[in-house]
Amino acid sequence: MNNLRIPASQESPSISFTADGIFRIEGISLVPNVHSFYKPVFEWLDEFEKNLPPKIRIELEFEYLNTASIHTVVTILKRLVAYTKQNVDLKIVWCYTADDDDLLENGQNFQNYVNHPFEFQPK
Amino acid sequence: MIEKPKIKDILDVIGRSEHFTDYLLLIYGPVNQDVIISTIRLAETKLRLQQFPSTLISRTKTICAEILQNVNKHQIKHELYQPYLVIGSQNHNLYIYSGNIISENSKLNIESKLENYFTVKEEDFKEFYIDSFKNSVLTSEGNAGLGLLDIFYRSNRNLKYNIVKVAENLFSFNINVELHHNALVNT
Repeated sequence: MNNLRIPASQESPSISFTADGIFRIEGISLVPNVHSFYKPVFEWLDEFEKNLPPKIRIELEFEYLNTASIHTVVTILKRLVAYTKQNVDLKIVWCYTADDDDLLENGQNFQNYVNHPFEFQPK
Repeated sequence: MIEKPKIKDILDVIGRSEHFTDYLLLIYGPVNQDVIISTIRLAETKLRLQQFPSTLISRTKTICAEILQNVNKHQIKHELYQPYLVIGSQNHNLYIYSGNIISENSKLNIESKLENYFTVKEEDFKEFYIDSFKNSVLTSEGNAGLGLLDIFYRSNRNLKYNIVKVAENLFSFNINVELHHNALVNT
């Protein structure tokens, strides 16, 4: 299957999902309609989950995101967490600016929402 | 709320503020997505220029984004009253003031949410916040309905508001948020 690549805009993050399970979402997510922006991600996952790789690594590096985007990214992560029931080894990496406790706390909250351990990576 | 789109009126309102003496940013007039993005970028630039800590800058950006997106969704055009957002500072604390015209339905919705948030004990608020996100449902328009909660949470509950009737079925909704530099030590 094809890899998913969505370039960043001034209001949306860059998204890179590869068929071998290397995922990254980076930037800001302030999109006015999360359904339309993130729809290609969910459609891509529909195909991806037909042939899951043994490992998935997703890196998240947000500058900031609105509450609707938080809800949607959490939904994506929950879907990845569900793959662990099929013996997929899932690693979620939360990247944040080292002196920014707000971004770190965002990641800790995300970890709470999805009930899966995160690796926190200061930069 | 600021009546009449004159810079003097805006400055008078800001000048009456008892909280801050340094004015960092003022946005006045109709809001759209481009205004929101530009405002957040400008706020970040101004705050970095004044060497505010990264955590405070991130909180300010997120709070401004939620405030302005709410204004964008719910603003009602009125010839006398325009939306505004002001960021000011004093003693390393930041103050975000905003106002816009809302309908009676929005008024009831806002009052219900905020009164509910104020009833939650401080020590229980983090859990309440997490549970609210866990249990939230997106509308078909893509709204989570959690913007006010996020503002309340990120300001450590330092939020004041008032809603004043300005015409039949029209209300001025004003919100004042304080971000205390000292509070960051505990986060």
